[in-house]
Amino acid sequence: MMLRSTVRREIRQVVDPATGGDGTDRELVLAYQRDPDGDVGRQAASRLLARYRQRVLVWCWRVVGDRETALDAAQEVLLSAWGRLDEYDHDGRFGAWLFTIARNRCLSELRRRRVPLDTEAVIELVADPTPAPDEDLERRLAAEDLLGLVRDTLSPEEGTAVWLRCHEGLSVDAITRHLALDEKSGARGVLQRARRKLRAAVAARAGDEDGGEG
Amino acid sequence: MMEHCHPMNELADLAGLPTGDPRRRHLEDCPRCRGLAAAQGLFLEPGDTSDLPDLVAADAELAGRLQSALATPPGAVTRPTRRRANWYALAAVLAVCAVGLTASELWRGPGGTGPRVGEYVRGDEAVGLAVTTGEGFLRCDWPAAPEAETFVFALLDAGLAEVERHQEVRPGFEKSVTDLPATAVYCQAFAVSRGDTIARSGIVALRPARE
Repeated sequence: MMLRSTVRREIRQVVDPATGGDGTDRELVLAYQRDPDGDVGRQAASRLLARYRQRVLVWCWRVVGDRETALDAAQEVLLSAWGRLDEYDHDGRFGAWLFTIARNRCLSELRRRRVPLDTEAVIELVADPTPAPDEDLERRLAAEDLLGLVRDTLSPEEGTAVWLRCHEGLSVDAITRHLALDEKSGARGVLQRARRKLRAAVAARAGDEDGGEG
Repeated sequence: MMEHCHPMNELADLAGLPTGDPRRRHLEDCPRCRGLAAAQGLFLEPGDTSDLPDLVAADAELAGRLQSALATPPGAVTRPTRRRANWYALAAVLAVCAVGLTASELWRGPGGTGPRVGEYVRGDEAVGLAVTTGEGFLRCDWPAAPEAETFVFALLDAGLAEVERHQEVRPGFEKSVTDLPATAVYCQAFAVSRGDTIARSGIVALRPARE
């Protein structure tokens, strides 16, 4: 009984700012896992989610693009994390775990809207819409080819911009801010440069293949 | 996925490894890991958020939604429904909903517009807590629940912990902006009658009022 009250007091010190302890993410998760249905556990979960609440909302907003959908998505992400907190195994950072949930939720939303993602998005970025869409491009570029092409052709900054746009669905504005680009055209300019380089690389490879066959 | 790609939960730590470490070299060479690490970095450190108008108010709304979900009124479902729910659980939830709906209708009366804890409703509209400033003063008004004897205005920090409270006999209070606790970010009002909270407002951001 004494031990139990001591543990509860220690947990309370972790989660109660009035007693000086704000708690690391790990401490708050542990406090919740020890007492998931009690006040102390609930308070710990509440503080932990509050710590990440705005980050989740910002991510969702930047990916899905509108306030109301972002609010719904962020709420789902945080409640989903709460519902799975007793299964969290402290392997890696809590923020990384929460990011995975937020990322998956937002990508699901984009897929629901049929927004092109991953390989399809990179192909759409690279494909020349005039005078006619490049019908062979999709057939010629598998996902692994594309990653190799990005690695061999683009600078790290260009590769990251392509990833954030095509695989994460982030807005051009958000990418510009993240990459701290000071050029006037921001991420748009970087993506256009990446597109030109990738097109040239695809064309060169197609030429090599044709030459090889002939 | 390339050979030796790292799981998501390890990415954040790889950039801090020594330059020659093969795991760091992989991070620098692999577009997938580099892209995911950049995305995770942007999630953890969102940076300048001026591209998102009204973020403070949206965050306050999300805080209110979460507070409602995390609150544990007696008899309420306190945690998100698990996917493992079976038919018995489903039946129990339906039964609780039926009882709750009936009780709610009885309480709200035939007009369906009576007060209820959680928000104060006039017609079909929830009565909002208004936060305004004028000549260095912060003013909170919540014209709700006239049957209440006292009103409590709680100032909350970013984690929704209470940092200060004001008890008033009228549905509003004023305070000098310079006297506001530095950590106060939100305000929430409660209507109290005979010692019981009979209604509460949503959580509203103070920041626009501070600026």
